[in-house]
Amino acid sequence: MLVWVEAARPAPASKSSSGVRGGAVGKKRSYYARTRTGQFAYTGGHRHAAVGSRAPKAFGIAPTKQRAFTGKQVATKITLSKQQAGALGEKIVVANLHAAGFKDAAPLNSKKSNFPVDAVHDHKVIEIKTGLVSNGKSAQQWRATIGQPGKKESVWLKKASPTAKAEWNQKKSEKILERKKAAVASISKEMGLRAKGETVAVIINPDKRIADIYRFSGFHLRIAWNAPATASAYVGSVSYGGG
Amino acid sequence: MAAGEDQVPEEVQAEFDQALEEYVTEYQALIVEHIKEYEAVNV
Repeated sequence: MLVWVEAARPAPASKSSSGVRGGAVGKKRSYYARTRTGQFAYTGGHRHAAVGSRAPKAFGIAPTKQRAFTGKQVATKITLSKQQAGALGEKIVVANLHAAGFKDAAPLNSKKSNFPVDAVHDHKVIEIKTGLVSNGKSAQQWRATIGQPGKKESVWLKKASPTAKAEWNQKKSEKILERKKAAVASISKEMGLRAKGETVAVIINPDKRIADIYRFSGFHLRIAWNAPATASAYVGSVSYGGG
Repeated sequence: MAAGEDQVPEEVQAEFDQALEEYVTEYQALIVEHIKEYEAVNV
């Protein structure tokens, strides 16, 4: 199991000392289980899952000493689209939170496909970022998600200059980040608690089925993979299977 | 390209602003729902 800085607060539904077995929030249903091989399996089906969506196959992770990314771009046989990579990163992060004892962790599946997908556990809101080892040097960074443009925006983007597009996308990123921070602050104020924002970022090697996991305080517009702060934010690596 | 095409049209800005507001509203509601359920069990 990977070690998180904060202390886990296991739900009372489970009294297991390992903090990874059985139970579910409110005893409504189980979202996780131990496999026969000892892997931790996220079975999906949380209440925030999109209506009508099919429950994913059991998704298991296990700690590994191998690293997905060793500082250089790697050409992989398996290629993932941005959406596929994002969905995989979300599964890995949520499964890892469950394995760390945060059994209530769940993705916040927004109906808005063009905005960041986050997860939540306890009083913490987690922005999930995903990158692939096949990313070229200039793309070896996690950036704020702006997703697919709207219909009118798409029409304008076809005519706009590269400079105008870049400025617009930067403005969108900043606005989304600003509103998310404000939303979390507003929740804290209204509910009289200290809700926090956090970023958990992963780098995935789909051929080896290994993911490196990093954890940062707050939300960020851009985090470079080779930044000193990134090295110190490294939590651990996991192998994954299923899904 | 005409200079005007580099200006973000008002309708594009309005489309984004509306989508962002809808996202934030849903985002807040999902978080509050989760926290309430979490506190009902754990606090």
